[in-house]
Amino acid sequence: MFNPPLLFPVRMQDKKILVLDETLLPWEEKYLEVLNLEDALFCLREMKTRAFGQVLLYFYTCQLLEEEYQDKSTLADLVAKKFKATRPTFDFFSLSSLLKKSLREDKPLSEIIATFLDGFDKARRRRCAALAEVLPQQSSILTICNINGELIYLAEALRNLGKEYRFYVSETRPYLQGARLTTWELQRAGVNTVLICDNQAAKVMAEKKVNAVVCGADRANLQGDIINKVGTYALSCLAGIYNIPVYAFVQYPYDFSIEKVGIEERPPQEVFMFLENIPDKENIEAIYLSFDIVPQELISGWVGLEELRLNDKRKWK
Amino acid sequence: MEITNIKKAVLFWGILSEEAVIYLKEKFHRGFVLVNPELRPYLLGLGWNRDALSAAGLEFLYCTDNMLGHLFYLQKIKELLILYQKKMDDGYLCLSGSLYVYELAKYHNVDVKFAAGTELDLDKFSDSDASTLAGRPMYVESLLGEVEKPRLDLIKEEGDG
Repeated sequence: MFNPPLLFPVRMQDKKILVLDETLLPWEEKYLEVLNLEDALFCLREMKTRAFGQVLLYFYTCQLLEEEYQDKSTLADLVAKKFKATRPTFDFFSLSSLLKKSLREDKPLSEIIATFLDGFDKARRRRCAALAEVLPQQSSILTICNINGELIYLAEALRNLGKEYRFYVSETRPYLQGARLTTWELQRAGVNTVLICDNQAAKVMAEKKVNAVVCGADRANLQGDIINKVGTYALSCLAGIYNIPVYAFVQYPYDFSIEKVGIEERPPQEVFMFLENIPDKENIEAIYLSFDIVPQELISGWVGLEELRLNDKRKWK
Repeated sequence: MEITNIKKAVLFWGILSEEAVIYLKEKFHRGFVLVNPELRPYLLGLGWNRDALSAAGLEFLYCTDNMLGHLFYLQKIKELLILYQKKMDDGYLCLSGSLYVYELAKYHNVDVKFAAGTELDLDKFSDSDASTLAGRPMYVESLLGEVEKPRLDLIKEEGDG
């Protein structure tokens, strides 16, 4: 099995951070060099990385700036504050809390972060194995956006159990993470995929072509509500209508009110990414919602780093 | 436009006809925001439908299809107008994706209306499935896998169109 680049899309090398530019995939695998905080914020702002990539970028930015700050707690909070101002939907303060809990005077940040990431990756494998246990013998999984390589772990886990599988991938407009990233990484790993337009989800559900929905979560609260890439809410509603379970990968849920989270609205013109040929598009009134909210009653199971928790109050319609 | 500025909206799905534009014009003058979705894979929201609305002097709000769920969730959409391709004995034959918005509308108790849309030869559009966007391939050769071809959706529901 090759090492899927999206499993660790941000890496530390010597005194610089290398960020896989996801906006160029699948055509070009190019790494951007991050040498300071401004470089890191640029990558966030320009969506060069996202999801787990922004977690890695946070930790490595702290590591990069370690020598400039005597007090590591102050550094952890400062970077979280700057990151949060750039990507408001993601809760970087939960990362700073994690980091601060692990701080030891006798250990450099590089060691602490390496230990943490190693544990995180092992937990990702474990949770995919747990999810594979509850998925059907012949799994046909609809997914959206990109879960940073975890679907490859899931495919491996299903294969180890002797289960058959294929992935329906929702294209995920406007950045097309499904079409560009998920299809690409699964195909590279030899996993069968079927690409669909986002609006074809109801059709493939009605035709019983899929029997599970698996998605990620940018944020999750203790009640089980999640915030994820826009389109996840629609998939979850439709899955409820067609009696299909929805499983969400979550990490570090904490106590917050989902309704009080500001859903990030990106600059409207960004919605036209990859649409350079559309004439006069700067005069089109557009909206760009990056994320949406999925209430806990639409989720069948939360695939956490510690446990898989099933929802006995799943709402079906 | 920011989402907080949308008080009430009408969503339409399908290929606009002259009658549909007249209907939407009346809605527009009653303060409704006209939500003009992208309509993948054909991008009719940026082509045919955009042109039809602009010719009528109607402002609209464009978004991608997958953003509609959140607009329903926020109860911004008060009505869905589906422009069918063909009336059948047992329902309406509609543009791909109609089932997506129809089910979402029903789930959120939003009023659904049906009306005749314009019939176009969809085969002439450069994007015939999810693998391309505005004619540009969104994949690397040999790493595409299968692609589900969009077809017309049959909606078995009595409408008032």
